[in-house]
Amino acid sequence: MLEATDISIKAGRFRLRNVSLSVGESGCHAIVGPTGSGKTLLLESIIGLRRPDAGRITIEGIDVSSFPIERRRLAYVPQDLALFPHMTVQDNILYGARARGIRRTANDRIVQELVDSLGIGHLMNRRIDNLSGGERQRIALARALASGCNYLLLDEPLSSLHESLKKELWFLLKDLRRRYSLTIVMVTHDLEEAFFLGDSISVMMEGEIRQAGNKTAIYNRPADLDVAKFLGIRNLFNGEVAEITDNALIVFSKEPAIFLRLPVMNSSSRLMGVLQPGAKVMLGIRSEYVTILQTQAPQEASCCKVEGVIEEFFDMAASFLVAIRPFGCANGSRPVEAEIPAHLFYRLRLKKGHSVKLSFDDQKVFVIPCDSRGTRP
Amino acid sequence: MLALVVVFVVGVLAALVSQASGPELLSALRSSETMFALRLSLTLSVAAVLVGSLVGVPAAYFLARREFRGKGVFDTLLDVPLVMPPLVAGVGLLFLLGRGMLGGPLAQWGIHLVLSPWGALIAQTFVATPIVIRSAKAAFESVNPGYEAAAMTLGLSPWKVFVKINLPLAGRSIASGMILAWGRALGEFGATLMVAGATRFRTETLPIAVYLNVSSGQLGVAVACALVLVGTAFFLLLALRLVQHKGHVGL
Repeated sequence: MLEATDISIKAGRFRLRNVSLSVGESGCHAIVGPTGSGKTLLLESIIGLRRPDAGRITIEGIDVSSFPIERRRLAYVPQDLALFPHMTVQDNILYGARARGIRRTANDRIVQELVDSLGIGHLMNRRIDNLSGGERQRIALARALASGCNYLLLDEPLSSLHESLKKELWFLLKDLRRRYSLTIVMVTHDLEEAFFLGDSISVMMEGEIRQAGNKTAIYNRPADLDVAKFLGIRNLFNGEVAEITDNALIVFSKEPAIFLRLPVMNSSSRLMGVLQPGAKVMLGIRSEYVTILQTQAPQEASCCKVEGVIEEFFDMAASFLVAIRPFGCANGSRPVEAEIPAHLFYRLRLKKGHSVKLSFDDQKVFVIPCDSRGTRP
Repeated sequence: MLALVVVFVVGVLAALVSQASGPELLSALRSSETMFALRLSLTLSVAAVLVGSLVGVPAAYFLARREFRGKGVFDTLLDVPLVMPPLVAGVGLLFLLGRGMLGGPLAQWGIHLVLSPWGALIAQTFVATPIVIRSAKAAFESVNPGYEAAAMTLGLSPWKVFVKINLPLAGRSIASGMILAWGRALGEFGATLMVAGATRFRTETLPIAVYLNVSSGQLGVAVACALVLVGTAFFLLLALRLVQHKGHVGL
């Protein structure tokens, strides 16, 4: 268990304000956020490279806030890897183990296993300067783990690699995590990476954690507008609370004209307390949860259907992003976007100018109160 | 233009050699005075560079890695000896080490720095140290601080990080700086003259030997010492090239 509690750091004009995070044993926590949001600063404070002005860091219940870096026993892979250029691959990997005085034989076994699982045996006598990006990544991981630390901290670990190599290393990281029961904290701006590798996620913005928790919850229900936009959600509409009942939140928006009855289970009980009928809210839904129905399709008893015209579509090979302007919506307003699998797009024979019916999955619609961050101009 | 410069350099060297006949030059080279001057010069300049590095390298590391109030002023102050005329530095040192200031208390302990080889050592250290600091600071700044961070997370104490990561990575540039500083200490004249004086067989470094023998008209020894100086300087430059060239390959 690794916990950072109420960390505050002032670095020039930038401030990290009361940031907390916690990662359970063998868990993987991804810190995401735009550039300059303070992700690396937070990671550096956990490692001990930065002394926080306030706050506490505990590892397995021991307060390590005052420990020097070398006593925290955290394996760390910095963004630029920082492999020592004056040593061979082998010396790089054995460096930490030797520094910690791990016995030669035990060391050999750990290192041998690591080297095998990372597939870098053939590189051991090479120098660092003439290795490829992927090889360097593996060596950096091996070096960090060779000293036997179970906590692994990664700063933008794979940002410089091309797509296929990156994915290969994702699986490798998953494998290493399982094999060595690693507890991982990683910083990344790559959402796909965060959702693939992380169990839990923190979204950082302007030195604060705006939302933290289970990755599915964050994916589907961003807490504020900034987070929603950072997660790439573009279907965001001005709405209003019509009514609050015991088991549902009834909301509507004018453009597009939708009226939704959101079950309490999904519209987060936290909101029920703060919202009043008549309160202004933002309604949002991921484009993949917007379904396109043919207008001829038989009417179903669903509460939320919108009709409109296909204004544009974007071929993304595996899927299509279809922009639909609902009837009655002004031209300047943002269209509703639906992402549908390519085979469905072809089966429906969709064309620009076609009239279609949209269905919103009301389990997936989220509500953001208008006084939350990012919703005010 | 290049030819002009080359002619100029060769002209100066030729003029030096032409001042003494071959046999005269050979005997002057072997003379006890030239030998003394060479020995003293080498001892003092090497010692000056070592003392300067011992103090200067850690200081440079501190300057390269730490931010503190007034760092700019401090940094500039360390550069002053680089641009200060050696003669002025010598006068300043003379006053500082003289009876009026530090010299009095030191004399009570039986330590006499002025007009002794020790004075020459201090003068040479004074001019050599800023050169070491300058190059070592640049060298440390060029070492990615990420290496230190990574090494510390691997369990190395800050001292070990300095010895095992920073020194090897910055080593070549520091060595270049030390060679330059050595060259400067070897040729040091103004400050040495002021602090240590020009006493034959006592504070007679190579430049002072040249000065003394030109003044007294013994051109043979003067030219011999001058040529030894030039020769040593040439080897220093050669060593510098070698170090820097290897540095490019290694880093």
